[in-house]
Amino acid sequence: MPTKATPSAPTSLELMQGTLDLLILRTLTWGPMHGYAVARQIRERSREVILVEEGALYPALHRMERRGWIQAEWGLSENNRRAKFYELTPAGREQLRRELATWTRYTEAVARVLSPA
Amino acid sequence: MTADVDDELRFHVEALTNELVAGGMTPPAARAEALRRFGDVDRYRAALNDVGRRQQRAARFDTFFETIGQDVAFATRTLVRAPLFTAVAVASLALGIGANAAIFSLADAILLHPLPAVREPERLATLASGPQSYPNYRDYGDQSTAWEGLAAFRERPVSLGAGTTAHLARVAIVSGNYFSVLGTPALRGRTIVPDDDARGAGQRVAVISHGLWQREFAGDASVLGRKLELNGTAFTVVGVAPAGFRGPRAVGDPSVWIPINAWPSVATGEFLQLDIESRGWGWLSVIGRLRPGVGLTAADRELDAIAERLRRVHRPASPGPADLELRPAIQTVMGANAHAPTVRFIAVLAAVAGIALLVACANVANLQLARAAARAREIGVRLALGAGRGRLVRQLVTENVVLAALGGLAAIAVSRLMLRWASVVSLPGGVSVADVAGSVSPRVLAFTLAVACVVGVAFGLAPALQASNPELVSALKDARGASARSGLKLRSALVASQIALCLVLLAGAGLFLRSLQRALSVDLGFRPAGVAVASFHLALQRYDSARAQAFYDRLAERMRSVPGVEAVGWATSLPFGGDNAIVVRPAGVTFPPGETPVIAVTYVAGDYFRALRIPIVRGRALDERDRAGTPGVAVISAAMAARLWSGEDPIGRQFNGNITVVGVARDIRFMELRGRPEPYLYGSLPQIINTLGLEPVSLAVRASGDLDRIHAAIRREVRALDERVPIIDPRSLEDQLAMVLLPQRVGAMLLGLFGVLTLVLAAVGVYGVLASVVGRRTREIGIRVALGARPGQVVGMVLRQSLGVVAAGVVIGIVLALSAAKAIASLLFGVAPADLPTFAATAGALVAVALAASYLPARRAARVNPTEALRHE
Repeated sequence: MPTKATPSAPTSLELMQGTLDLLILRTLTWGPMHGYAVARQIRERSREVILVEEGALYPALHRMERRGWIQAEWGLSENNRRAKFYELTPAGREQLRRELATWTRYTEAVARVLSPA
Repeated sequence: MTADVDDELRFHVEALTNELVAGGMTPPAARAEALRRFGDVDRYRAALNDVGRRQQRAARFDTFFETIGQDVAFATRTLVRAPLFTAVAVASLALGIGANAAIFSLADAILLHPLPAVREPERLATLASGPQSYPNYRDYGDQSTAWEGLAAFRERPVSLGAGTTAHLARVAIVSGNYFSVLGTPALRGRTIVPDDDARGAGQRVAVISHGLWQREFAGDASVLGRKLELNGTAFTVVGVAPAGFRGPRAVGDPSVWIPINAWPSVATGEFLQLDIESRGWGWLSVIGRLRPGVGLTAADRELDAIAERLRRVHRPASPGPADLELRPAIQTVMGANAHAPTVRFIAVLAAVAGIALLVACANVANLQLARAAARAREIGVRLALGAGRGRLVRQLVTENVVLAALGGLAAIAVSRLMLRWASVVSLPGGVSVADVAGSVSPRVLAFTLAVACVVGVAFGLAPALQASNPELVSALKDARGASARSGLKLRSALVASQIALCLVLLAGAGLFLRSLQRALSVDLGFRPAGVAVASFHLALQRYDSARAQAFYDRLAERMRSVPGVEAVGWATSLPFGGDNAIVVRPAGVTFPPGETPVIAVTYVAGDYFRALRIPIVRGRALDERDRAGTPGVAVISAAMAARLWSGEDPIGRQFNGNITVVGVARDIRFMELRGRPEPYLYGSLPQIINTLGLEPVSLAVRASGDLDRIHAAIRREVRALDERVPIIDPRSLEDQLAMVLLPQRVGAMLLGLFGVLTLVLAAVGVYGVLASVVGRRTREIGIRVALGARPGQVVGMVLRQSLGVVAAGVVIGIVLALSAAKAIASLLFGVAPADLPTFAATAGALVAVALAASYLPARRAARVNPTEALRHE
């Protein structure tokens, strides 16, 4: 991993806002985590293909908190630092279910259009 | 919030840096890489703060309403825990606000929305320059273009009969378009329409009032098609008017509406020979609905032009001013000229009610301050625990608003009661209050609650600010801190202003009472006590003068044989009962042109002079000898003798041709209590029976004992003579005189009532303040007593403190009362507005009451036990 710490810009994908929300919600299904952990999870699980400008997570997190999809609480990080932990709310799970369905339909449709058939 | 955002972002960058360092980068490189991956920190920070602010605003909005609920609940609990305070405060506010609601009901009914069941009354205009003849009215309507419709009406008394009994009622004689011009639909059946009022062929149809329908027909729907007798002529009921509908006037209250062209079949008396097609006799009031966009002046100009044209064509049959005056109909509801006096009357009432409300508010504010002082410790604790001052102020204001709301609700009941009591009072123009403002309307309700809210906030704020003063933190240590002292100052000021307002009301009541006393002690020249009176209007029963004379004679005879009756007489007008006047031209005396005496006259029969105990000082009274056909005779008053024959013997003198003076009576007062008695003339009723005998005539019966018995006898004897004759306005002569002094009576009653109420409130205020003073100074008093002060000295010390407040209030009150008295000077009788005895007595009474209220706290001060007082701290 260390050598891949500086990925080349062309391989990264720009994300639309809704997609970022979806990724965050999905990531939080593994349990409460702070913003940094969310960023790391997205980076690692996308095998470093999806590289979000990490600061962009935070407006999304705060917005979703305001909408009641996630709730936040200050706690201590693994190495005993004060960090803000986010957690899915029932409304957030519901939102995730809806967005996943939309996303699946969308990607399937795109795939069908693009498939050589 | 901002700090949290910074923390969160910093944590992210540091965590990333640490990871990169763990991966082998040098710390500076790692930090640079972390920042690059994070992106523009400042931009994200700004975005986050923005999200945060929006969230905070929403939260603040939520908590505002949430905490208002808490405040109200808390205020309610607090008030329930102090039942005495709550009761006194609510009662004060209920009286203060209730008085205002009652006055507003009146103002609303008379000035703001005076015409119930009339559509868009603001577009109606009345012709205010006197009655018009029927043909002229028709020409105005036909020739003008400014009006959607022009209607005419006239109210007259009629004898209204169904079956064998009859009673006196008012009929409105209206043009066929009257209901459509007013925009009033029938409640049942139909209204009168133009077809009913065809020229010379009026239909005998009638619309009856809602009141008559309820009273006489028990609200029965089958009333349509039933017959009514108006002065003996049968009319068919075709409709019922909506409840409350009185036409365009608040006076009169007609029971029946009939078409103009049906009137000649009903008309009697002065209208007996009325040719409604004559232009020579104006008798109709005219009201019209202006077309949209047409102004009063334009309509006025057009009417003037038509009137001028009519005058040129029909001269001289069409008299009357060519300059017609139009006025908005809502200003003529009390009659053409009663608007200004009514407004003044209501303004005086409103001022009194306003003062009452101020005093009530001062009282509540005072009670609140007293409680705030007592609650200083609680408030101090809450401030110390971090309650914001704003929140505390809001809490205290909420408490006042809750109080005021309770007071406002109670005020509605109070205002209903007040209006019921006030129904005995007549307004200028003779309308009973109950007729115009019988109920509390939604508008009044809204007004009451608005007043309550304003009062709650306004008078809650000062005590609240005072009570939550941060200085009060010292209250945690000592409840008698500096701000408790300044609270006391505010309370003293409130008590002083209560005393001042109280003095204004009591001085006003005193002035009216003195006026009444002076007025009642005026020598009237006759003896009103022990005289029963009742009136009859025989023209309404289609009597001719011979039958009328027989009725008068036989009723007088029957009444004379009733036990206890001393004398029975008749008169066309009683003293203070309206008057008639004639031009007197004495034989052999010439007056310069324009100075011919016009003298008030009454025509009498029977033992009128004995019935009223009017002494005959020379000659004889009029009696049985003076009949129709005998030589004309008259008795004149001493003042008239002096006026016409200046001291020479008037007996045997003649005036107006052949009327001979046979007696001189002592002067009486018949119109005015002020000044010198005016000349008065007594003619013989039998001698003018053919001309005036069918006008209303009053019976006067002097009797010993209970006058109710006499009135019962009058009813019995009248029924025996002719059961269809209605007895009009039976009363005692004293009651009739009481009407003259009505403004003074009402003034004395109203001001006296509110004056005493405010006196009680002010006394409570004085007591409260002094009790606090004594409480605060217990330690000091204890020291004084320990150092040898005698109880008398301690009492004196407390009373001196009270006197300071009272004296300030009295001085301010006298200044205010003097200017208020000038405003009511025209209503006073024989008393100067700055009447010294009244003011001295009022001020004295106030000081006495205030000292009495101070006595309890003073006595408590005198009994302070020094050892306990010193241990108290």
